[in-house]
Amino acid sequence: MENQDISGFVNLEYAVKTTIMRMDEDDRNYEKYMQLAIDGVTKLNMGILPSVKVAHLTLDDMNSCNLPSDYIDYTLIGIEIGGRLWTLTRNTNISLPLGDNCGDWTRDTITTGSNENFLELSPDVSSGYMFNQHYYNGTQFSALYAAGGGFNKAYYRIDERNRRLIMLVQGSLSGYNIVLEYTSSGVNKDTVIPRDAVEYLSSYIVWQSIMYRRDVSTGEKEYARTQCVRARRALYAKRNSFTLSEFLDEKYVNLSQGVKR
Amino acid sequence: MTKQNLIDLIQHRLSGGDTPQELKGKYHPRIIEKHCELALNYLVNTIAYKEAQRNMDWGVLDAYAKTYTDVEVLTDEIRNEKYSVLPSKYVALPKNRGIRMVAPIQGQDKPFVYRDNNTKWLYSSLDVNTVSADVRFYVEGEKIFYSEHIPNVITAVLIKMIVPFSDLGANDEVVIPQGFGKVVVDLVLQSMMGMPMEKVSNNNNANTP
Repeated sequence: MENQDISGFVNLEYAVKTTIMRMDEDDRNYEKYMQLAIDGVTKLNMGILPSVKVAHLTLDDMNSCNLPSDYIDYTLIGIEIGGRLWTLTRNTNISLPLGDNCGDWTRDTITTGSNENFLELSPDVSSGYMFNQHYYNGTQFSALYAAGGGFNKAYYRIDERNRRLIMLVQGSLSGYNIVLEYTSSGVNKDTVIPRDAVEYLSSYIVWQSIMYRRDVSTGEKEYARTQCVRARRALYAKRNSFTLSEFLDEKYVNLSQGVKR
Repeated sequence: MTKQNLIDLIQHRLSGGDTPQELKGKYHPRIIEKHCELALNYLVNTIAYKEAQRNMDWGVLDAYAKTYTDVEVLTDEIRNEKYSVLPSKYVALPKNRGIRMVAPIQGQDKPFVYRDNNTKWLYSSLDVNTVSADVRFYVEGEKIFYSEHIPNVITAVLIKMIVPFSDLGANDEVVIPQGFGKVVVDLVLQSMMGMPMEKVSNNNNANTP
């Protein structure tokens, strides 16, 4: 028989409408609540339900590249050299671009010299990081393995204000690909959320809708905030709960077939 | 009950029975019509709206609404916006709740979303404007304007709205919920006698109705 269960994922419209239904409201504040729902999902995506994406960004002549428009924060940054990924080292002392000149960024960078040193990275590496699996140019990358740590040949700095990634390296790496794994805002027209996140989202909408109103008492606001925090904690606990198999693994890890004494 | 029925009923009441002497047989139907309008507006604006707000039961207002099923969608070339001319005047309530619903003719499950007039500047720069594809509408005078989300295939819409008594034809139905008929008649008579409306709330505040 066909599975008739309701969907485990719902869209933002569902979350907003279920909130309106619970509050016995009419449709007059729908657009406002939808915006609050977007804000709430963005917060979820930064914490409990991270929406991690991978972008391949091509470096320009200044060894820099633009960050994706939905970028919030990065989790891994690597560069593809010789078919292999190498993670980079953060350096907050890298100078930022001076500004733009007729639409082009200008920057005094170390772009002279040879990049041989960088390209001659030792292939004898035994540890590194796995990038999230993703699609790029129609190809699915199940996971990318990047050598990481201890090389310090190339450095990066995020220019938050101009939403650019700046690299410091000897020589020019123009045309090379930066692979950026980042947390995305994760909200678009097709965004869906797991059903167990609706409770949090509803309480977030209720709380935010009264938070700045002068005709609502502090007690009511505090109550709404508490409900929201509780829903968030419940969601977090559920997402990080100990599964039965994990419990059994823990239980059996110290068992052996040795003779009992 | 039609509009004419209600006017006749009031006139009949005024012609005899225990009607006060100062009212008996003195009023022209047009005057009665105006007093009916006052009474019904009072009923919707004060009694029904307050009740709906207090109980969060907006269906109370729907009891007074009239449905128009084929209202044309036009284009304002100068403003580059699509709009419809409201088929009649509507009773003004907070957040334009006198307009109960605007939807595609066969799409009441996907009604247009209300937006306050002059808030386009606000919402157009928020994420909701791109994330949600729902059509928004706002009211301006006797027209409703639609947001850019309205698809070209929608050439006519369905509108449910609370129509004032004065805009009804003689044979149009006057929507008076069951049990409120006597309230309306009493309100009309009170209005004609110059009596203040009976206080309906019990909060000892002279400023509330």
